[in-house]
Amino acid sequence: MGCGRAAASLAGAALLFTSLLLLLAGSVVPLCAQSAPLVVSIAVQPPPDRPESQFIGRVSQQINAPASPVAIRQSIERLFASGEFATVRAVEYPATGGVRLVFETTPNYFNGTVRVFGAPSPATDSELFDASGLEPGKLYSPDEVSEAGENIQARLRSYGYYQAKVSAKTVLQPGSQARITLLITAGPLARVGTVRVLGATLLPANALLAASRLKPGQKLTQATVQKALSRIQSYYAKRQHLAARVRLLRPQYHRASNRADLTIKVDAGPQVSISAEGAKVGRRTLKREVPVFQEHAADAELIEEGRANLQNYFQSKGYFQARVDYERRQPSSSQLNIIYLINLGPRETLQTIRFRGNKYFSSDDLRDLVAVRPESLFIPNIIPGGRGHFNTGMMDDDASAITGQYQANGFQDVKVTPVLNRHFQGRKNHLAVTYNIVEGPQTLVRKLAVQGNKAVSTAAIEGLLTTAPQQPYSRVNLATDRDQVLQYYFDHGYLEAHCTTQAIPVKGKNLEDVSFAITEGRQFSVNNVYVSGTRFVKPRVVGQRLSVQAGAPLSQAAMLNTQRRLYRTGVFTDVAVSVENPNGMESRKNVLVSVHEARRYTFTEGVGFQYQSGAGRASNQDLACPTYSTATSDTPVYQGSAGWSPLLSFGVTRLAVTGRPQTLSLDGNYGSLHKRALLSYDIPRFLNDNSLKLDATTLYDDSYDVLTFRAIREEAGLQLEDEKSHAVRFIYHVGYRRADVRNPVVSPAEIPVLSLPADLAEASANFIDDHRDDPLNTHRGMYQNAVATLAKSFGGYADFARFYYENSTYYPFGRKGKFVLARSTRIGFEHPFGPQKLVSTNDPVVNSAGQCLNANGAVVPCSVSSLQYVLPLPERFYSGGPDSLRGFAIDQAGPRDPITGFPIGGNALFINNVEFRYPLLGPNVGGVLFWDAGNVYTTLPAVLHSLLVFKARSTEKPDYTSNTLGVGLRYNTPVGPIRLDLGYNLNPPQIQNVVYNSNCTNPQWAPPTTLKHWNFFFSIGQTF
Amino acid sequence: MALHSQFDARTPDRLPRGRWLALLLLFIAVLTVLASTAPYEGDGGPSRRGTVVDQIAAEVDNQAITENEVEDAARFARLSAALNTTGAPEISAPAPLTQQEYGTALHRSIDLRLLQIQRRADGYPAASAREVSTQYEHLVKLAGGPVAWAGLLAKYQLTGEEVKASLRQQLSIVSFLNGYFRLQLAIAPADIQQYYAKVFVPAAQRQHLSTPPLATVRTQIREILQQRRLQQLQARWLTALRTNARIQIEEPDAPKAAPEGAQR
Repeated sequence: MGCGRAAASLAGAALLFTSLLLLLAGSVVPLCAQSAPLVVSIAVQPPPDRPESQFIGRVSQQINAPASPVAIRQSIERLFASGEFATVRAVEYPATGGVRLVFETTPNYFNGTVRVFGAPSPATDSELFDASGLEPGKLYSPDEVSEAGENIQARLRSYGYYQAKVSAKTVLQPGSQARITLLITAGPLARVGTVRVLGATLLPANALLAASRLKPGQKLTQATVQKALSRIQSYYAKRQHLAARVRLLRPQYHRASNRADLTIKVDAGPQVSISAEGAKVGRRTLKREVPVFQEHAADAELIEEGRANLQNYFQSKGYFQARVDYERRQPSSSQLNIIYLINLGPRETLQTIRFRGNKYFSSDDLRDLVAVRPESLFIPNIIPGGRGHFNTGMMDDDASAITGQYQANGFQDVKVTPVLNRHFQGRKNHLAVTYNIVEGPQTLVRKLAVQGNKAVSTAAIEGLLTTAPQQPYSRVNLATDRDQVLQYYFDHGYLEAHCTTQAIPVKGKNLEDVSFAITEGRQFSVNNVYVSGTRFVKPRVVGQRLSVQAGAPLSQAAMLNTQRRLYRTGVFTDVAVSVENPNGMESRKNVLVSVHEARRYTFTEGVGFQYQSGAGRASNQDLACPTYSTATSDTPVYQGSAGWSPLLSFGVTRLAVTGRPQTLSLDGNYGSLHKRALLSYDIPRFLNDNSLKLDATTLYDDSYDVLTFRAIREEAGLQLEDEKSHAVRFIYHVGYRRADVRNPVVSPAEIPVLSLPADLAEASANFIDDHRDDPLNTHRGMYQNAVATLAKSFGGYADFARFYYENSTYYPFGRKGKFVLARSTRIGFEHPFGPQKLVSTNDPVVNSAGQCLNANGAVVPCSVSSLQYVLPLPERFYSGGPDSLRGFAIDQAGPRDPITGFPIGGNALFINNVEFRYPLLGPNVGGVLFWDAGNVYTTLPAVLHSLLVFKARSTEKPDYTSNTLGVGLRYNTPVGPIRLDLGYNLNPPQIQNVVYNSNCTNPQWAPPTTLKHWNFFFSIGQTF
Repeated sequence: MALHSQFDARTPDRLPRGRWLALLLLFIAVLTVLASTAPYEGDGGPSRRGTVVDQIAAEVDNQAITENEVEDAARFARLSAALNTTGAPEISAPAPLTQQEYGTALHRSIDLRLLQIQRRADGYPAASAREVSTQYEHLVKLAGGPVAWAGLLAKYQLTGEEVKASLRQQLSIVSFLNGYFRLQLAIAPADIQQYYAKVFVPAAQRQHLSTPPLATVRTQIREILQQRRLQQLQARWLTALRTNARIQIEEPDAPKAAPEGAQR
């Protein structure tokens, strides 16, 4: 029993030991001393919006190789370096034949949309967003969000909101986006508590406090505090303490009372006196030239700047050798005297500057490089710059500038020597500067090499360059070419591209070998595009305007274009296009487009009054008597009498109608003189076509020509604009117009033409071809405009077809094209058809025998009737005024009513304008000489027959061509030139009309009157 | 007596307790072996837990330092300490890394990473293969030869490749620091004089040793002072680098929670 039991025990122990060994073997991690397991497969857990294949290449560990700690470590480092993961760990899972190695990850999140709500005035949501410091696309961090809240609170404190709270809410969205919302509760605006003044004030504190106008209980805003400090500063400045320092110490805020105690620290500084000796300098000039006054400091830098400014000032007045120095005298610690010592020297005039020896650059080109300027013929000598700009330092600098320009264009051996003649043409103090230039040989490019490019062909790169073999070598061009190459690569996703240039001179010859060495780097592309921020606007409005597309190269130009196109919709106030994780190593980047919608409704309102002027009537004038009886036709008697009324204006605009970038707006005025309502609906990108724009408008206009008549106009129209290119547009318009005159107390002939009754529907097509360089102030180019209209009139008026064509061309000539010869020709005609009207002309003037007399005294039938095509008066052609024929007042050209003498328009138009435009005074003031020819004619054939007719043959044959010569002045402004024109009409027409006596009886023909020759106009914009 | 006869002879109506226990253990052992060799059923399989072989220990300016790297650094420190003792080091079973050793190695790794980032930013070259192999051979010699060296590597769970990688990193950093602070390592003669008078001579006198003249020890004193200054400059610079860098040390084995305040 003992042996058997012992043997059994031994066997049991052996079995136990073996089992324990096996148990341990199954659970112990292999030690380094043991052989590493074989990796049979590898997996990487990717972020939610990306495929695993994008990351598997970063793994260094090989499949079917033993697990290498070094390779696994490197794999973790490389995966982490992509920037897409917050954590990475390598986990081995048992697998058949070895282990499966899985890189388990936690994705990083990036700032997506960041919204701020609740900003109290005057702060805005976007300003507080900037203050937060959060950037879309950057790595999301809860700590940074907390810090953002603190930054906003700090900004709000500066606005007086000490109790503001900021709560942050973050929503993690698919695609690694963190949508962050910062909600602000501003709390009450703090008030001013106690105010005290500390420091070396030198003046009574209560006087300073009174000057600041700060009072306890006042609202504590940034503006309040700044104004208070500024007032104290001014208080000191008036007492010669020009260098006083005034600043606000950190306010002491009391939460219980919501008040902040303010402490203002002042250092009055000495009293500063600034004067000049050696020349007379006005106080205003000193204040302008010496910055001590504006900067409230008297340090050496500012005093020196004042010295330089005064020297420049005197040199600009012709004292080219003027020298200014200064002395600081401080008789005591509380007094500082600054004296500018001026030595003017002789007063000189720079007569001319000349260039000798230049062939490659013209003298005009070189003149643009130099700062030295001779005296101007048009600037009086008393005005700065009138005697020219000059000193020897400027002359030497100009020589260097010319040398640099030549060297930059390949003239390495150029020599420029300035020579100053102080007795030009033998006259004392008359200077002349001559730049003697020896150009030397020009260096050319011998060979051009492009290296390092793989993704972009050499031919494509060479196409971007201005540097080329056998062309002049220029360092400037080389730098520009390098920038062009880099920009090309950046626009195609190669954000790490580098380009260096090298130019090696060929020995003994004026040749350079140029090479471009390119390092392309990786190409970055767009992984996904995420759009956020749309609330009412349909997402596809944004989608249709995206230039960045998933899978395409990441291009800065495409991102900027996307931003620009979204801004142009007009429905967004803020558009940000950013790259997610810009510093990460991953070459496929998400692009974030974050938009902020504008307020959908905008309301405008205004209150004012309206005043309407007019030519007053004679005091004894009877309103029932035609007013034309007391005046000639060229006085604007039909403008009615003066009067005024209160006026209320309003407007409401609704953006993003139906979620699209379409706008509905209603604008109007309401007053006793004028009521107007305009409703319009704009659809840019009509039918999803970028070139089509549709506008629908409806107008109601009700205006009183005071005490004279009431005109009501109703219009509705639909206009489609088709922009074929930058220069060419087609505009198609259909519309209905109705104008009605109510309660007239004057003859219909006195009612302004546009207010006469008209009732018509029309359709027109307009072709515009605009190649002008600047539509506001054109110097070169061509413009043409053709309009064809078909109209149906109602109320017995004739239907008509109208055609109008305008052609303008502009030719620059002279140095740098400073002169412009501009011409414009306009021709138009109308062809009536349809119903005719019986028109009667009644001659009121009779002789003693009861016979009617015409203006020539001949007996004529008293009434002549005939069937005629009558076009509504507003639809006829009119001309005259600052924009057409400057020999006439507005709309005064053309046929006239034989009885009243008023212009009644015509069926044909011809205008030809020619202008010679030239600079007069610097770049902003110019002059014009002009010739205007043409008129309004009764018919189209009359145009041809009357082109050479200088005077109207009779009242029955009024057609002739007027000619006007004139001069004008132009002053350029950002909205176009301000224009003064004076025109002399060589052949104004003669007018005759019927006049009455004071009892409104006994009509007689007035003696013929010739319209005035001289006409003066003041307006904005060129004539054409 | 043969084992089997006892089994044959007995007609057991009940197995002895010891045998039951052995069988039970054997059964468990077999199950365990089978489980460890079974194919992986994929993530999430509740019965298949993977083994983390490496993970991020710290982040330095968007660069990861893994736990294996830190552990290797700690073991390398142990190896270096062992080699620095006089005489050939003894080979005995290594103790596991202590928390303190790990922490020290972690911060050392962070410092080295900060310096490495600066070195790369300045375009300073890494140590050459020749420099590394020279230093490696020196270590082998210190260990007492290739056999002893192999034993040391096994003891400290390092491979030759890992040691060379550590050497390359450290030599690159040292060379970079010497170049970076070169101009600031100039020692004035007055400083050498002062050290000789106030430190060297009193120390020699305390140990009852003869005091050699300044001229003979000038070079050694200069090296000592340069080393000290380099350490001071390095420490100051590292402090500044740490202040400006984004350093995050991961808690070991803590689950990565979603960002605070976040909703999914």
